[in-house]
Amino acid sequence: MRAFGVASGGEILAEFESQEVMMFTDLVQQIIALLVRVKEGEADIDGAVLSRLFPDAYADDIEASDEFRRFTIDDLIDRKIENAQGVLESFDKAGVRATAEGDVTLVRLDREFSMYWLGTLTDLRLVLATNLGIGTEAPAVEGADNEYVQSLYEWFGFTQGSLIEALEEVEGISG
Amino acid sequence: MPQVDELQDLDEQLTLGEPWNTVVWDDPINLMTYVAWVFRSYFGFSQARAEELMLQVHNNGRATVATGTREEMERHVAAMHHYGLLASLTRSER
Repeated sequence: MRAFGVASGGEILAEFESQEVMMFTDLVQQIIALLVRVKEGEADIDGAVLSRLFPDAYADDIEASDEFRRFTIDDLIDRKIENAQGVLESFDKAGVRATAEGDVTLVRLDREFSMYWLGTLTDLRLVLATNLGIGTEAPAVEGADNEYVQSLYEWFGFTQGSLIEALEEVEGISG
Repeated sequence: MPQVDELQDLDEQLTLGEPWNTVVWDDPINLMTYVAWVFRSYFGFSQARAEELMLQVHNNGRATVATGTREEMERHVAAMHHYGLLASLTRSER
């Protein structure tokens, strides 16, 4: 993938290789499945990931934080799933461009879909980082291919950073 | 003599006006440009104000981004969690 760019009409565009599309949509589907399991109250979910996706709202008050989470978590999950489905939809609607190295997928985002992307890219990065032991007291997940996870984490960071730059360009804010 | 319940109600009423803060905490995951973008798009801050608050988060480890009633601040904190930022409510010092 090259960075997101802005077309003359103000549309935000990026090209993805088919391998990237497969990896990306697979991870988005995994995050939807994770969120559905959280909503259904399944118990086998990594506590470090849960507490990063749904942080304590009261720094020194566990009870108030738990109560806050009970009241807000369903809505948060629904909106995170909506973001993720928006990302999948933009791949469904994407165009294909033939190049000498094979077909590339051309994703076009308006402001609404850019919001979905920023949200989902954040959720993916939070989960990947937590698995790597970044931003959490929990150790990195053992047995995982951490080098690969690290490369995904960086790739999503690059993707998100370039999307924000493109949005700023559309809004007339120079980085 | 008032019942205990009534005293608690009174206590709640007296603390209603006390301001609460929405505090955003630094985290090593979210991009600085993303944090500034969230501040601009959600709170409607100017680019300069959003940058300033983002740098406060980054350099001081935290920034107060809003102050108001507990209910309002709970809404902001939930919104920050929706964006994936680490945010919590704190009570203002009187």
